[in-house]
Amino acid sequence: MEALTLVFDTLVILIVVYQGLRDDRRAPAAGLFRYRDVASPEETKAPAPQETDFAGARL
Amino acid sequence: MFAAAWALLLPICMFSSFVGVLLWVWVALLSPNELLYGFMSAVPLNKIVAIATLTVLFISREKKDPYLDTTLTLLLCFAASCTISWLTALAPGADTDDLYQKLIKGIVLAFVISTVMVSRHRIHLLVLIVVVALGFLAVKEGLISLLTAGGHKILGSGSIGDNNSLATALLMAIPLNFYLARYSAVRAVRIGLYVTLGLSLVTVVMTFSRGGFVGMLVLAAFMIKNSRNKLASLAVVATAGIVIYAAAPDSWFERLHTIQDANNDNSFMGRVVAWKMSWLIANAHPLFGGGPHSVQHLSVWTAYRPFLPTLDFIQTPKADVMPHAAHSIYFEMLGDNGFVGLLLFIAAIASALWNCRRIVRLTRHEPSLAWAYDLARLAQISFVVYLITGAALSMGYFELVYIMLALTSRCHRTVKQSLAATTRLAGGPIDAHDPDMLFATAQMVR
Repeated sequence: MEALTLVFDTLVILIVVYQGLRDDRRAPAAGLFRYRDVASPEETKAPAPQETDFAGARL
Repeated sequence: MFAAAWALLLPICMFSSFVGVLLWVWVALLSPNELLYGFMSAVPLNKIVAIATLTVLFISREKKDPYLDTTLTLLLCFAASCTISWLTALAPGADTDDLYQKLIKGIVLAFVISTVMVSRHRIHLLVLIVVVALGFLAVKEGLISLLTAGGHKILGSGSIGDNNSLATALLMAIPLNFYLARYSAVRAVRIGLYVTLGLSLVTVVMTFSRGGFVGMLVLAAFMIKNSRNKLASLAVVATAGIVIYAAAPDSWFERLHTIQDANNDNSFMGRVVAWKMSWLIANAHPLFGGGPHSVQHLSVWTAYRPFLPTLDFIQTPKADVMPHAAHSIYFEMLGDNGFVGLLLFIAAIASALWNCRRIVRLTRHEPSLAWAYDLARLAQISFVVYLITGAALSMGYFELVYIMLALTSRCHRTVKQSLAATTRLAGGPIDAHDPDMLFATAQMVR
């Protein structure tokens, strides 16, 4: 069991290292262990966006 | 096979200090040498990866952002204080040197993490590596415990310590595991992480650690308190509690019942004696203590044993002839590194908790930084579990604590840079001559 788990753990590390090296130079990441964004309840409570002028500067 | 894997991994280290840090964290937490036989068990993987990573860090031009904030400054002062303690140790020797080296390696690793883990992508993989390293122990011990229907006795891990230390380490990793399970994009990975989380709980129960039980209660309480949806968290915690209550062996409950009678518990009273001895050492050497694990040296223990009755306002049995471990992160730091070391150690953790609080405040209404909000809330829980269960364990030199200090410090800086870039972008043109702002903008885009 120990040997099996260690082999699995090492394989995961190999994949993480490979993905880390590959995805570090591009966005968004695309590997097996990539992250995602989760919609949070706070988003609905977030204050209304400030009005901006045409250049995008906050008024 | 392991040797073949390392033959692949080590050259990759030479390409990127970021990958080197990931491997360094894995080796530091898992210490795979102790799980191997043959020539690989003697290869100093930690040292090799550390040297390779530091070399690449200094010579490469890849993204790095060295800085010094309150947490890192306190950590630096703590390293200096511990160095003086080590140099003036009451019982110098190979084991003292080893422990000092372990601490310094942990602190250097913390500084490298804070310098290199400059983006969300890197922070995500760092958390993943921590969970994979500790998840190995959780999956292995948890599966064996389930397959033997509780007949397996968990003794701990060579890299972490006894069963109590293992329980604490896994409880600290559970919030990070939960973060990853929430933020991993691939469904299979999320399922794997939830399985690891469940097996971590099984392993904690099967360590028969009373400290682990207290840690589980703390973890449950703070998971509910820090949760966005408290009702759902309460339901999950209640379900987990019911499953553990129904499935745990009777011997586990018998073990827990001994908590009620601490005064007659030899194990607990032995710890109180060790705390008193650490206090005596610190009183004799208030500034820098007696050096790494001095209380565990026979000569030191024998020298301070006659003074134990001066602390008899707390009744304890007579001290054993043979020395004991400090059995508390606080008394361990006090006896080893004096009041200065203890204060710096606590201040560094308090500063990390403050960083988490700042991250939560800064990101509360920033949907793009919800990941940092959740990571900070969950890292707080890891620290609280450590501070409470560590009160009865010698885990002051545990690498994960220093990794977590660096992680929260780095995350705080990355959040501030992202917010600064967002504000600057919304408020006006980017100054192309401002390297900090260009760096911060790059962080935001990633």
